[in-house]
Amino acid sequence: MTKQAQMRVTIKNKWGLHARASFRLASMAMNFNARITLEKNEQAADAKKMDELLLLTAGPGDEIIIKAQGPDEDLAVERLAELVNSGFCED
Amino acid sequence: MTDGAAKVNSSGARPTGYLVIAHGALAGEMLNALEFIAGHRPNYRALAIDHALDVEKARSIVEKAVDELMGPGGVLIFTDLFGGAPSNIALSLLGEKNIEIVAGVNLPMLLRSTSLEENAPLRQKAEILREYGRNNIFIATEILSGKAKR
Repeated sequence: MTKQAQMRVTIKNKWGLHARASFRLASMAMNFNARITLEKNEQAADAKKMDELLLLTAGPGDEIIIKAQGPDEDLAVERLAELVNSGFCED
Repeated sequence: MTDGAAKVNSSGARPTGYLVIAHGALAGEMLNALEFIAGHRPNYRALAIDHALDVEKARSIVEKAVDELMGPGGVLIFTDLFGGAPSNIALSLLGEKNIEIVAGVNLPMLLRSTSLEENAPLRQKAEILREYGRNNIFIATEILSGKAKR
C-alpha cells in the first residue's frame, strides 16, 4: 500500500470553505510537490484547484480529511491543517 | 498601475497585464471582488466605459490603459459582452497592440488568471480562461444532486 499522510479537521470559520478561504488553501497547497486532496463525505477535491474546493460546499462544523501523497506529504498536511484550524485567519 | 507588469521579472518570466472593461460599474466591482478574494493585483486594471464620452475619447482612454499595462507578455483584456461598446473599443486595438480579448468575463476566469503559467503565449492564456469560465457555470441543484458535468 502506498504511503500517504492524512489528517481529519473541522471547518471553524463562520463562512466555511468560501471563495477567499479556498483561494488561500489552494495557494498554500500549490507550494507543495505532494498530490493533495480534501475529502468531505467521500467527495474529493484537488486541494490545488480552487474551483474543486468550492464544490465541496464545506461549511462551519463540517469535517474534512486532508490527504497528501508525495515527497513533502507530512509537511503539506500539517500546514494545511493549521490553516483550516486557524479559521483561515479570518475570524 | 505599477511598473511590475511592464518588466521581465527576476525569474525571467514574462508577466501579462490584465484589463477589465465593461458597462457601468461592473469592471471596477469585478476587480474589487477579485482583490477581496485573491489580494491586491498590481498588474490588473478596470475601466468603465462612459457613454457620455465620444468613441475616440473612450478609445484613447482604453489605449492608454493598455500601454500602461503592456509588458513582454502583452495585455489580456476581459470584456463583459461581445459586440458591446467596451468590447468593440478593445477590438479596435487588435493588430496594433499585443493584446488578446476574452469577452463574457466572469469571476471564476478572473480568479484563474491569477495562477496562469506566466510564460505561456497570450493566446493560450485566453483559451485557458475561456474554458475555465465556461466550465465554472453551474446549476446549483445539479451540484447538490451529484449530477453536475464538469
